Amino acid sequence: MSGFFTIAEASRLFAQKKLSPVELAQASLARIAKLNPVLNAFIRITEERALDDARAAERRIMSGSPIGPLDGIPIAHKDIYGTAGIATTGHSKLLEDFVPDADSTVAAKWREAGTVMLGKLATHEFALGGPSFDLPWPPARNPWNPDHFTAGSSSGTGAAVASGMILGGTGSDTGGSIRGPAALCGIAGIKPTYGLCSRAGVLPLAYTLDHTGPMAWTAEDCAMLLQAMAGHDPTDPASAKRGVPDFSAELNGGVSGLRVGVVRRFFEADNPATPATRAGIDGALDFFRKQGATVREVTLSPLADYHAVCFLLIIAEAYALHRPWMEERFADHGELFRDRVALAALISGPDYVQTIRKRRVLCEEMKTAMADLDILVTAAAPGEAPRIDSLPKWAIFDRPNLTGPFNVTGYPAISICTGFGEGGLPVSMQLVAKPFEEPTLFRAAHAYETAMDWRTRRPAL
Amino acid sequence: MEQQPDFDTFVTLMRHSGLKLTDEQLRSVFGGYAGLLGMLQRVNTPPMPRAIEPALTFDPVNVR
Repeated sequence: MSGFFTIAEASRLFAQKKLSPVELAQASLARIAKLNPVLNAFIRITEERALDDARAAERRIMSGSPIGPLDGIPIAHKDIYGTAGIATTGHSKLLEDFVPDADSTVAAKWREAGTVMLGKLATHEFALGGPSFDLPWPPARNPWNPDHFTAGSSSGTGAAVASGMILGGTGSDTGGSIRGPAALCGIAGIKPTYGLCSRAGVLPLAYTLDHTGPMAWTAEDCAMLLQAMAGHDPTDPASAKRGVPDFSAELNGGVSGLRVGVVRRFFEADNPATPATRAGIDGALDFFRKQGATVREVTLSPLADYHAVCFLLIIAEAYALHRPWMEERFADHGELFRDRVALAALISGPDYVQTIRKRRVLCEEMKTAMADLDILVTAAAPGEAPRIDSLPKWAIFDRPNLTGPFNVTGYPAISICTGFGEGGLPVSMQLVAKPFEEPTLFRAAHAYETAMDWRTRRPAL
Repeated sequence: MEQQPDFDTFVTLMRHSGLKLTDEQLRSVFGGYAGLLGMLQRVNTPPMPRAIEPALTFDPVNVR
């Protein structure tokens, strides 16, 4: 079997009995065997489980009783998602032998939806830092050019989806860890509204900023995956008690009438983007206008304000979680993780309170800015993926993160591909909606993706 | 006014934190100290209104 499928395509072909879940799983495993030695996207391949899952899906489909649109779809989980009986390491020496006895809520939901689980994916250690070369497994590499970075921390998911090893996978996003790899690997990745998807059974990094979410080739596929992971979970204290809408219902609604805002200062002044990234965003705004949306500029606080709040809360909350290990097994962590989190030992009580107060100021600002908007547009990354060996350890202080504002505020945000830069690697944009308005987000993203031809181009591997 | 990182102060603070780091590890973490101070300065900029209390920070159920 050759060629790539989206989840929507594979699901349709399964229903028409023109594609076999077992054959697709075997093709995925063959692709992993061929490409993973270069891309390091998987740190554990669960071949037996995948084939068992695929055979079960095939029986259901052939008997005319599929579970739903994800039945038989090959996926994998970022290795911070607990998987029953399968090691869940956080890509860390500290949890190298940790085998949970239960699935995380999301892993259980995807299993119940009939997905075919191919294995566990590389991450930055405990979803922070990276790329690191001092961990038990090497860092994932970018399928568009393996000398380049995937971004992270959902690095393995970005590489595995972009290279066609899987059709979709889980990511987590505390400061941009879904949208960053989606941007640099040229795929779609959504950080849903805080509280929409359960984090129960997922290794935490920073409680008040952690989100779970899906990554796939298209926004449409992300909508399908999100459908099977959203919903209230009493075992996650931050889980929102509200119904789950049909995330695909408005996909073909177009953008006519949508009110679009653009935060130019983020990618023009605060973290200047490359010409290709800016051209991609301008092209998308032109498309929205021509399709009947209104577009206007929005002013927010400097990106560095959001970045400071996001970073300080991440390391403070991570230190609170990891303190016993940091005190007793400091050297067993990778250098990037331990050095960043150790800084939190110097954050005082008043500093922490002021950080929370500043967060509240920014949340109020975002709420006001979004009051008469449906979609906010900004960059997801400043440009193409840099070389994997070119990133200084403290680069995080050099340029404020473009994705953090929506972790700080909890707003849903998706990164989608807007073309390719001078180096032939993908560039992207970020779309943001009001809390729990993911259907609007998918509607705008799908309208753009289907009007452009970026989704027809795959990495040459 | 930007705070200048001072290695001796940094080491003293780290020694009080409970983390038992070697000199080499301390030097490695120190590389991020100036960045940390800059961020702390940014979130400590007054004034912030009375209404911005930590107790009101985040309610995921009624986020709208």
